[in-house]
Amino acid sequence: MDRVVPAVLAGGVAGSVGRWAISEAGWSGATTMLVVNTLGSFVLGIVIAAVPDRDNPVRLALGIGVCGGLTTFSGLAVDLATRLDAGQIGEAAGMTFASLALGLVAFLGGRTVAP
Amino acid sequence: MIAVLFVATAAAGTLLRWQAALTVPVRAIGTFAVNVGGAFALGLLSTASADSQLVGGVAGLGALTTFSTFVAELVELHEIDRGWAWRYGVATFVFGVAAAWLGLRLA
Repeated sequence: MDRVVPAVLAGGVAGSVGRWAISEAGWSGATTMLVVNTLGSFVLGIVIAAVPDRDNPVRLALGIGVCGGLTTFSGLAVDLATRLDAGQIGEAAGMTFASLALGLVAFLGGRTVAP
Repeated sequence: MIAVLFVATAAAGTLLRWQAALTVPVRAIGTFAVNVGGAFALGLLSTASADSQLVGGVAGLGALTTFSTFVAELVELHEIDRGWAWRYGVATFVFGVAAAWLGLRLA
């Protein structure tokens, strides 16, 4: 336990720094969000399938830590709320669909390719 | 200094999300709570300084909220009970966007 907590927190920090670094790549906010959320969902699919034990320290550090830190929901929700407020209903619906479709396909794909 | 604060709030967000999922009877309820709460708080932060948005928003609330765990829970719920998977997915988006909208309004 004493080693698990720092490992999960370090993973969360690493994922968050990774998300920030990707946000500096020059893409739009929406593209950045799709990239980090899809990538994180893919990796989480691999982690969950490769390590079935929920309490395994490696699974916690990579799943709760890295993937949880890399992906975000708050940014997506604010993006959608801003679009809806601006009357961009179609764009908001498209962003919702793209996030879910890419996230689900990535997660299921990660589970399939896991060792 | 900003880097230190970034690391500290990202770690705090991760810890809070992890513990939230463990303290409720169903993990998805904890994920739902941090995602909706984080969406509201990020809306509130929209008028804050760039440094506050980086430390509080990108690091803290970005780490507090998650999309990967949400997707994993959707898939796992769907394998047990399709109805609850749909309810969970729709509720997360409806309440999350409404919370973000409210936060933006109050900011």
